Amino acid sequence: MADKELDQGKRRFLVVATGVAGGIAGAAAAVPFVASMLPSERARAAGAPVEADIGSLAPGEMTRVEWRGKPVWIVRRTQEMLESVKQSAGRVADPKSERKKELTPEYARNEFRSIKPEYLVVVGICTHLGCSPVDKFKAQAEAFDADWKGGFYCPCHGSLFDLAGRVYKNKPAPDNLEVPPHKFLSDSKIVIGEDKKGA
Amino acid sequence: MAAAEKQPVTGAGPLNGALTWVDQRFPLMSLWRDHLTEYYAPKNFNFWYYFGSLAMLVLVLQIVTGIFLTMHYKPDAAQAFASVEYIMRDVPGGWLIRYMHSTGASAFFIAVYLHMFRGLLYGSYRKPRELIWVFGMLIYLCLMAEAFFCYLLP
Repeated sequence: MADKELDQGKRRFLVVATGVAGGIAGAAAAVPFVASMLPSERARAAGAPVEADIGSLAPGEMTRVEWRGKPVWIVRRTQEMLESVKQSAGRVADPKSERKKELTPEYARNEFRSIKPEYLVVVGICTHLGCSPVDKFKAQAEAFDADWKGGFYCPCHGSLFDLAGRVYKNKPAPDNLEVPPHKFLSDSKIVIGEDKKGA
Repeated sequence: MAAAEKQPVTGAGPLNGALTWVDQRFPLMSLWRDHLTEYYAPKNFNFWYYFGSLAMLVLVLQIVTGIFLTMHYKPDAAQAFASVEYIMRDVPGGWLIRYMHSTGASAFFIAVYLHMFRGLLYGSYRKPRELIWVFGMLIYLCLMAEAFFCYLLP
C-alpha cells in the first residue's frame, strides 16, 4: 500500500467534515423529540387563564369560575361589606397579608385585598384542609359567632374568613384565602390566572 | 508494565490524551478502524451497497420514534383513536414523529428489499457467506413479524 502517497491532512479533514455534518443532522433530528416532551397543548389549555364576565354581577353577589380545577370566587362588595372589612381588622390574624407573600400578589396586598375595592377575587379553598367555605354575607348573630360581620364560614372545622378572605384569629386555618393572579380587561371583564406582569 | 500498554493515539489533535486513556482500556480505535475508517471492502462498490447501512439508520429511527410514540399512545381499543388524535394535534412535534414512524415502516421494507436484491445481484450469498444470507433471512422474518404486529395495534 502506497502509504506515502496518502494525503493524511485531507483524510482528517474529510473525517471531521463528515462528523460535523452528521452532528448537525443529529441535532436537527433531536428537535422534534425534545419538543415532544414539552407541555402539550392540552396541558397548556388546562392551565390557561380563564375569563369571567362580571358585568351582570349585582352588588353583594358572588359568582364562581373554575381555574386550574379550583373554584375562584368573585364577590362584588357593597359599601357595607367594605365597612365590615375595616371593622374586622382587629379580629383577623394577618390583616395586611404579610405572612405568606405567595398567597397575595403585590397589587392585592392592601386592606381590601383587591385591585378595585369593590371586587374581591379569591380561590375558594380553605387554607386549612382544602374544604370549600360557605358564604355567610349577612351580618347577624350566627351559631359560630354571635358578633358576625359577614364573610365565609368553613363547615369542616369552623375556620372563619372576613369579606376580604382574611382568616380570623385562633382558627384552624393558618392563612388568608389565596388571591389568584388576575387583571381587569375592562369594567365588566376579568381574567383569572394572568396579571400585568405576564404570568 | 509500560510495555503492556498500547501505543498512544496520534492524529486526533487536542483529543489525543483522552482517546489514549480510553483506548488503553477499551479497543476503541481498532473498532473504529475495523468498522468505519479502514473497513475492508473492494473499491468498486456502487450505490447498491448503501442500502444495508440505510436499513440500519431506519431501524434506529423506528426504535427512537416508536419509544417517543409509546409515551403518548394508549394501546386500548376504546382510547387508541383519541390518543392518536392527541399525538397529531396536541403533542408538540407529535405529528412529525408519527409520520416518521409510519413512513419509516415502509422505508424499512424498501431498504431491505433493495439490500436483498443487491445480495442476489452480486452473489453475496455464495461461499463463504452462506450463513450471512441465512441469518439475514431470519432477521427478515423478524422484521415482517414485527411490522405485522405493529399494524395490528388498535
